[in-house]
Amino acid sequence: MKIRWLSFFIALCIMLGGCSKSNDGGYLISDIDSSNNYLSTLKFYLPNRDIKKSDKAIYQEVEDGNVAVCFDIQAKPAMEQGVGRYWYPHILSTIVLAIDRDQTDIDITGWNDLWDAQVKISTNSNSIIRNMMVIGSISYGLNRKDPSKRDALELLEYLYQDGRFRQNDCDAAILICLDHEAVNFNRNGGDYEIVVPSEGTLSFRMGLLSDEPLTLKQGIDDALLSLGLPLVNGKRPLGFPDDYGSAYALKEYDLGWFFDITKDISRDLRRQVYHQRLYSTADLREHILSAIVTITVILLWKGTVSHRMIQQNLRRVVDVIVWLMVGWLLLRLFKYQLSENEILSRACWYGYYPFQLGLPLALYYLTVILDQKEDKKLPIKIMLLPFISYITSVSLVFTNDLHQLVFKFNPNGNWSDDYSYGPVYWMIIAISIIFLISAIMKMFYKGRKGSYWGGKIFPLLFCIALFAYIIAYACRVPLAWETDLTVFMCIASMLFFEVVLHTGLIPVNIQYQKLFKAAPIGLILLDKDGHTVLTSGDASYVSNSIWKRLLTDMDHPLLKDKDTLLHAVPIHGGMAVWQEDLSALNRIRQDIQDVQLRLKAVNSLLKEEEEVKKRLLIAETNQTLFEHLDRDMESRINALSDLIESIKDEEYSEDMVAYVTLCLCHTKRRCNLFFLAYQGEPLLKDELGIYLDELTELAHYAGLKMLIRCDQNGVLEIKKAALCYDFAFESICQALKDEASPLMGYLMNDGNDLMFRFLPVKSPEEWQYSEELLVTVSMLGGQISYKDLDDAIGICLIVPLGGEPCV
Amino acid sequence: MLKKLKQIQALNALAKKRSVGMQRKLMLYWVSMILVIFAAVIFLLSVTGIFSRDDKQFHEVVEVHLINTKDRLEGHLENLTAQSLNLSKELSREIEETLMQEGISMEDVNDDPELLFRIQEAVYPFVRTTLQTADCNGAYAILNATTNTNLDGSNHSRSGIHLRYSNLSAGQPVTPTVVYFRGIPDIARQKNIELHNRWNLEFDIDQIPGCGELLKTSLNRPAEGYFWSTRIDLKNTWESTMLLCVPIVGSDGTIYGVCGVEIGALYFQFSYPNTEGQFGSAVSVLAPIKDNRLLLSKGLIGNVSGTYLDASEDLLIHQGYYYNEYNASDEQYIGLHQIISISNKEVNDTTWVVAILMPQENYIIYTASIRQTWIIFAMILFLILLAFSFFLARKFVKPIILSLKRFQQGEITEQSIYSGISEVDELAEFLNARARNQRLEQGELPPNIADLFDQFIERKNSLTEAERNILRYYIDGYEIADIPELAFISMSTVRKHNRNIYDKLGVTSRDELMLYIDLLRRCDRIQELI
Amino acid sequence: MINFLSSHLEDCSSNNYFCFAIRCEVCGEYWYSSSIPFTKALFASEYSSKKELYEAIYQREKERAKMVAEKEAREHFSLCPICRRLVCDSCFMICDEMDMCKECAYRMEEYGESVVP
Repeated sequence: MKIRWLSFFIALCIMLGGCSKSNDGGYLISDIDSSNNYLSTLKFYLPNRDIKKSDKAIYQEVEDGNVAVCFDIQAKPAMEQGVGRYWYPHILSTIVLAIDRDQTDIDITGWNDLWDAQVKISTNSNSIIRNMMVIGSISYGLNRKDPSKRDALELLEYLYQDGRFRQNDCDAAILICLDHEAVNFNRNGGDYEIVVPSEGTLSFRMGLLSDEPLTLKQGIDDALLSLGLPLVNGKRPLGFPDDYGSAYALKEYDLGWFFDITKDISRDLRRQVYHQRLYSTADLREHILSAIVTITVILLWKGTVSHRMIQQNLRRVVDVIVWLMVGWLLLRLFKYQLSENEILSRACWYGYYPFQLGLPLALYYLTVILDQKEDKKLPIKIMLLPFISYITSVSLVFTNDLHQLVFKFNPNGNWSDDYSYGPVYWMIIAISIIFLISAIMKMFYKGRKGSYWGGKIFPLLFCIALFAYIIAYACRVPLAWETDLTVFMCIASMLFFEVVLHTGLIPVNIQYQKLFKAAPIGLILLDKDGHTVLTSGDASYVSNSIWKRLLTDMDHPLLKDKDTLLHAVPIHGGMAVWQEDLSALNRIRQDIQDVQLRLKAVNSLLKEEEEVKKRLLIAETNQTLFEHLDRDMESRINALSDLIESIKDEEYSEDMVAYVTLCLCHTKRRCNLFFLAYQGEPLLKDELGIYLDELTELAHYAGLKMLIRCDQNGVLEIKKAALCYDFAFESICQALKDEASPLMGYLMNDGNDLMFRFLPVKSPEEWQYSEELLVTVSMLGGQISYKDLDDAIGICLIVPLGGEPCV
Repeated sequence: MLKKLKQIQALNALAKKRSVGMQRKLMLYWVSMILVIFAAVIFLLSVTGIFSRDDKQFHEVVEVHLINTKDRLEGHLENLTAQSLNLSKELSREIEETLMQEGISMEDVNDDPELLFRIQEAVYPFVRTTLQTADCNGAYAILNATTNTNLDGSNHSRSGIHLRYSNLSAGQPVTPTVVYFRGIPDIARQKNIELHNRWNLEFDIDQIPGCGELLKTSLNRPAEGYFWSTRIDLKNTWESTMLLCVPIVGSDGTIYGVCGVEIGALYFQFSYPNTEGQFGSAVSVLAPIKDNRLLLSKGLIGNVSGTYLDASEDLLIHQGYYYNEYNASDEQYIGLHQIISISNKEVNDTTWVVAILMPQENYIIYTASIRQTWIIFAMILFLILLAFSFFLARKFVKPIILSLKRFQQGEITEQSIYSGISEVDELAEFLNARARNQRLEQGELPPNIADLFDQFIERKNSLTEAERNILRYYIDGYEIADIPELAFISMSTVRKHNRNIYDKLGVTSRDELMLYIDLLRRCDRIQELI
Repeated sequence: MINFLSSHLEDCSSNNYFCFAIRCEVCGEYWYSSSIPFTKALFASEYSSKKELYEAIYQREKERAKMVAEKEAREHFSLCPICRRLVCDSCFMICDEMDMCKECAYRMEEYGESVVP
């Protein structure tokens, strides 16, 4: 709200106060040459105005309230524009020919005589306004009816090309000057004949232009006359020619053609008369144009360079170099616009130096960092000295007004162009040159190290070109001498950089796009924000989520999809991502998996088959087993059933029952052994002992007292165990039959044989063993033998231990 | 690009909808009102011509001119006086010498043509020199003697020499030709000077006012009694001139005659050119003033081109603050004058003034053109400001009236009415809300709501199945965040659907949508939406 | 939906951060959740003695990160109502009648616009 009020207030102030104009003028301004007499007179007649050399355009000065000395051709247009309302013409100046009679006695009456006058001809001033007056006068003289500058320029061109005409040379034999100037020369000891050109010439009024009425003390005309100045009313003091018949004072309506003629006079003179080269600029407009064109070229060049390099630090150097050049040119442009403001224009002039001195330093820095790694920090001391010397140089230039060691000014003169160079100037220039030379040396050195041929050739070419320029400059060859030094330095800097580029010291590639397009690994460059910068043809888009994940962890690659693995490495200003195609790998893995699955299926099928087979086998075996068992047990069971049936018939004693039980037990154990035999497992001897004990016990019930000792540890082959068991049973049965109680049995190992001995009370020679048992004994390689002991006969089964004998 | 444009449009719409406080608006109106009054005052003042009057500047300009001219004129006349006094001294010595040789007095010279010839012969070189050196167009010497006292009018006829330039012109002063206007022709013949075509032998001193009296007085020094005569017509010529009369005083105090220089009206005209300035042509005048009248007929006038100043007229002076008005019979002039003392002893107590005159007409034209510009500009400013105020007022009142109208017609919709003024908006909002609340309390709905609903339901038909599905979730009271979970779709999909739903149903926000749903529910029409 | 998403989340976390991925079942592209750093990553690598403690913290933070990832994934994945597959936004089409995945839309000759072009 406050700001609003303030702005409203300011607007109101401007609205109400805009009408008044501050007026701090009060000077008398002159920038016309040879107006000194006039000025000194005015000093007396305008005592309250100090004389000052103008530092702006006179129109500006008049607007500021000053009084300007000027010609009518300046005053009238100003008054038309509303600048300066009061015009006090005092002096009538005529362009005349002043012929130095000390030098020549040639007879000259007008302009046309100049064609053949074989003497030096000159003007005595090269200010624009004077040029306008001279060209205007000659044009008027050569063609009064229809004046055109072509005639005048042709005359001057002819004279100049003949070596007879130049500007601002007061020693020439013929001077084209103002009449009162010539009179003044004469008064000061010259011997000039003043000729009013017979073909015609122009008179111009000189006077005061002011924005306010002036109070001039009376008598100024007399004073001017006495100083040898011609008055506007035609009065002329002594010393002027008598006949001014051909002089024509410009009227207001003449100004049109006069300005038509004299427009762009500087350029016309330079181009048409002096034949100035097209590559040098002829006037301010061309100056400005050339500066703008140069700036454009520099900026375009910067664009191409930035496009060609990626190295960030070198890009920065290019930026610095470019801005140094552009800044310099812009500052120059700005200075062109300043008309004569001494302090500001001097400040601008000093302002050139930071740029001018900065360029060699930047080039030197460029060569220093050339083969360094991009992120490598340079030791400060390498650039410290150059930088300090740069800063010192610049500060010396800027403080020049205080010490005047760089530029020496004439204390009374004009400080913007009246100067000479001081010792420090040469010093700082020398420093710049040292930078430049060091830069070139470094470029040479570093270029030589490389293997690329350009590394040696291009620096050489650059040096040759530079040298050629310097020679040309020294010899005043126009191409070098007349070109703009600033523009040259800019071009030289650009060339230097280009040379460095072409020596191969800076990795250059303008084919990145193509490279990426052709890259087979699907390469993508992403910038800091994850945007794709460059991409190969076959690379797919990297989505935001993937980019974020890559940013967190670049060490681990990640899957974009099943067949694409992304790898990333950080680079300056982003990351490079490339993709690995996993499709082949995945296919192989898939194949392996398929094979595995198939194998698994086959395996399980096989297993199933095996099991079925096994089951079948077991069933078969069982069947055989039972058949076998049936066969094996049939006789015993038959015998047993006979026995049991016989029990029904006969009333037997309990012995009989015990016997049957014994048989049953035997059958049962025999079945056990049978199965064991099928299982192929050996039988512990202890277990056999238990079986035998069982028989012994049952035999007790049947009335047979017996004892079987089984002293062996270890295992017995099942067949042999079964044989032993059968042998024991049958022996018990025989003993029961014979009532050969008690019976002693002993099972033992006898060397390699197994020996089962029974010692009955009665002779066992009568004992009948079953066919089956005997077959088995012989099968096993054993024998049943009787042993005649002293008082008894024992029966003994001997079966060899070890493997079965071959059948 | 299109997206950006849309954003900007949306922003603009938002800015338009934002109301501005009444205080700020009023502030603006007050300022514009003040400006209008200001412009009106400027307009009135410019009509009266206050701005366009450049009196002060005119005064300054004329004053500078006057001072310049006066300085110049004073210098000029002083110069002439000095030279004339010198002439007088020389002549007095010469005459005295001659008289001494003859041993006679001046009176004895009467009727002695030979002596007169001798005296005039002696006088001639001095007169000639004076003419050549002084900035004048004629020089003369009158001896207090006549050739023949017996003739009629001999008492006012006096012998003497009068030399003048004959070919004065404004341009380049070529070598002037001296002619012999009065005097003994033998001298002219002797000196090889042409006689003036109106040549006379002797002066008629009655023609020169004060001259006769001067001859009769007795003085010690010539400086005691010199004066400028008023402008007189030279006898038998069309020229008129002013003469500087310096007595030739003998050592005994007798007046031997009168000598001096002449400034002709033409010569004065050439010497004092008029000055063209922004106010017109300024004429320099040297003239006596009497009874508040500037006697141009008795004075000299500078170059008059560009004016109609008549040299024979007398101008009546009206004193003014910045400038005086000088009225001629048919023209009016403005300018300034200042008294200048040019003679030592004025005849008839004449007061001489230097004046700078300019035609009033030119000044009026000048001021009129400025005034016209002022009036036009003030008028334009006034009209623009008036139009602006009108526009502002309209803009200020229109929305209020509109709102009022709507209020009166009871046309209050659910959307707020933007009057552009926050206070009014608030009031409207408040009234609206109250009315709405009342109606809602009574279970009443806005009258045109049915149409709205119909349209809304109509629009709903354009929804796709998926969108309808989403809408259903809204109807069921779910938030956006719930929908992905419920519909098994991503948030982006939901948002996309939302946009389509809003577009198709013609709502701008979820709040608006929810309002519709709420209202439809109240009306038991929610089923139609599903 | 969350549960459904959660079952599809693949763990891509490392010792230092948590990150989860979901694969679009249509285009096969992985979407990765924003990585959340493990707060104690530094300590965990230094103090092997407190391994179990940091392991517990790790698990807890991972659970939390997973929940965040699920929420995040909800922004990008939809379930095709036809083939019941989880698809990313660029494979999910908004069609006239019903939203569905690209492949289903192609198969059923439905025309529509994908959620993210």
